Amino acid sequence: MAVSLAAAIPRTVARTSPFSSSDNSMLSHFSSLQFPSELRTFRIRNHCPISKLRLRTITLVASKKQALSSFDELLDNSDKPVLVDFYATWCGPCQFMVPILEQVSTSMIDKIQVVKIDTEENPMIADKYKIEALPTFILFRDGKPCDRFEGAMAAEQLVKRIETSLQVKE
Amino acid sequence: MRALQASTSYSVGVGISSVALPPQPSPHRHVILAKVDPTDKSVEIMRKFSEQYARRSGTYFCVDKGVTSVVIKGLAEHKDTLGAPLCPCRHYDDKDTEAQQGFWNCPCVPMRERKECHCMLFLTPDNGFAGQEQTISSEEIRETTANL
Repeated sequence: MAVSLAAAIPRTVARTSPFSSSDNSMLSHFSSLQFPSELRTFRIRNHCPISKLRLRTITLVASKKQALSSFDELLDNSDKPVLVDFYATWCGPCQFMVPILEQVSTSMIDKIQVVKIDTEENPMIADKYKIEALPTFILFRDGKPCDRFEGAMAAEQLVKRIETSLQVKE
Repeated sequence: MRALQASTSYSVGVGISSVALPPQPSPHRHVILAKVDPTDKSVEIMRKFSEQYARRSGTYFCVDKGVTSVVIKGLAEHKDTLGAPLCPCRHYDDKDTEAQQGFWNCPCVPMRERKECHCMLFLTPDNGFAGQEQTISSEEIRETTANL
């Protein structure tokens, strides 16, 4: 499957939490935007003549059809259940969950795959799953949602919730 | 400038385990989506508002002031782009309509009626995440959001 972003300069979705100095090596377990590293570090700064905006990063985007179909493919092709975190940059509880998700992603690496969706950049995916409050977590099994919950919580609670959901017989 | 609200293209903020990029340029149209910081003025307005409203409502900021800071900046960002501090912890179909309608403008109806703030900005004392403070400085906001 080729996500055609030939000139893509993706903004890494898994950003370092402002609340703790998380070890970036843990991000390798954490499925986020995993383009080759030469693309990951490339940034455009202030080429835009709009004087009032202070541009930090620019992301070249694919068509919305691709984003949704990439996500669907990811769900279909995953051999493990997928925990999806729908978030937004300026959502406090979402940022609170960043290190917690990294921790859970690592500790449950054999059991689940963790994916984060920025709802501002992927509104179509957020609309499809009727996301309202942020963060919303949806656990997908065999490509279909099997559990859904909202809000921030401690790592132990998150692990417990996931394990309980995965124990439910289909 | 309403460049942020471009509705025709979206970035792929999706994690995928392996990607094969084609050698030739993509035939699809690309649009640049920029991430912008709120203005200092709006952040200061929302900071003062948050302190006042916490006092007035008898609620407290999160033990983790980073959460408070991010929400304050989110409110400021919406104030800049939409003219009103729309709740940053929600996904909306149409932000402009929502900002005009007002239900989710901070302080939102659930907060005003039931002291329910899912942003974790205003926490009742019985909430496990509630700290002891009803103040937050510009310095705290700057420091805890430096990475964003």
